[in-house]
Amino acid sequence: MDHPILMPQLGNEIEEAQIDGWLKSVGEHVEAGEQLLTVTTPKLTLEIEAPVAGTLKAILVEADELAAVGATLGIIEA
Amino acid sequence: MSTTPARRLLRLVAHGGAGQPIVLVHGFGADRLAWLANLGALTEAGAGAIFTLDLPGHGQETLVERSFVELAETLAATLAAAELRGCAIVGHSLGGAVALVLAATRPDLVRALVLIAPAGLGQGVDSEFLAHLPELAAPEEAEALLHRLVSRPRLIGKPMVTGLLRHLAGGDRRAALRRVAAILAEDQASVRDAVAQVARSALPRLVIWGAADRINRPDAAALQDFGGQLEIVPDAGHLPQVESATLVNNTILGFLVA
Repeated sequence: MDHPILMPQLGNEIEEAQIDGWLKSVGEHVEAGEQLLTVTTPKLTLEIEAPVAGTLKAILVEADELAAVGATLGIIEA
Repeated sequence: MSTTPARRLLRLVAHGGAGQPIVLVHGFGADRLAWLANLGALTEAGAGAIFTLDLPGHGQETLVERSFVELAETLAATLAAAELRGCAIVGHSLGGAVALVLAATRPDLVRALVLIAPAGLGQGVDSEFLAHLPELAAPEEAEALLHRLVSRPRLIGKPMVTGLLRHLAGGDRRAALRRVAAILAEDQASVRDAVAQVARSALPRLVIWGAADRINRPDAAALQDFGGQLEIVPDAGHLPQVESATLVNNTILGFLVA
């Protein structure tokens, strides 16, 4: 089953953030809670964790691109 | 009691959530957007109504306050004007010290304290860090200083470095931060008094500290005297709420909902 990796809610003032870099590659196994990527704003850089264990099936937003809050950044196949 | 020379109110930003207020107070050199790793989890958990603000001398706020008591008075006036009573105050570093003084001077406004690496309860905020941050000019220098905050360099992205330098370049922000640094250095007695007063009280309190904090190292004896719940976050530096966001969010929620 496919699980989306979502850009988290960042409060009511920030609507998008830039992907800083992926820490995993497509095809790699990830554990639930493992850090998958960093996203960054001019104020803070944060890590996004895998919502479930599985295989990173797709990266939909590459490094240096912007993504909106709630956007699907990648897919994990559990 | 001193009186703030030009009484004003800080701008409170509401992030949603319902119930008793939870007010997040950032650290030195940061602003209300320092809580981006926490706002989603805290709001969605339904633990309360979440608010952020910029401390005087930070973000969009100027600085007229000259002491921790005056900083706490401005925060108290802001909360009272918004009719936020029974607040849980989550304070990081400098914000933790302001939260402590607020709890000691205006206990009617505070129902619980969450203190993350608070100034006044550790071994002292690194004076070189406080002196250096307002003077930063070169990106490499800013990046190196910010790296001291965290255990993993990847948590300091390039936009964060340029964002800080752009902020410092505006108006009299460097001068304001120098004056905040002076309050941190010279008004430690106010925070010590507040720590002693809160320690004697029944106020529910949670202290969170990164085990690898290099900016304000934890002081085991002071923490024991202070009492309350203590969470030492392994492998985290001075920003455990960012470095171990899930653990810290869950710890805060567990404490506030209990």
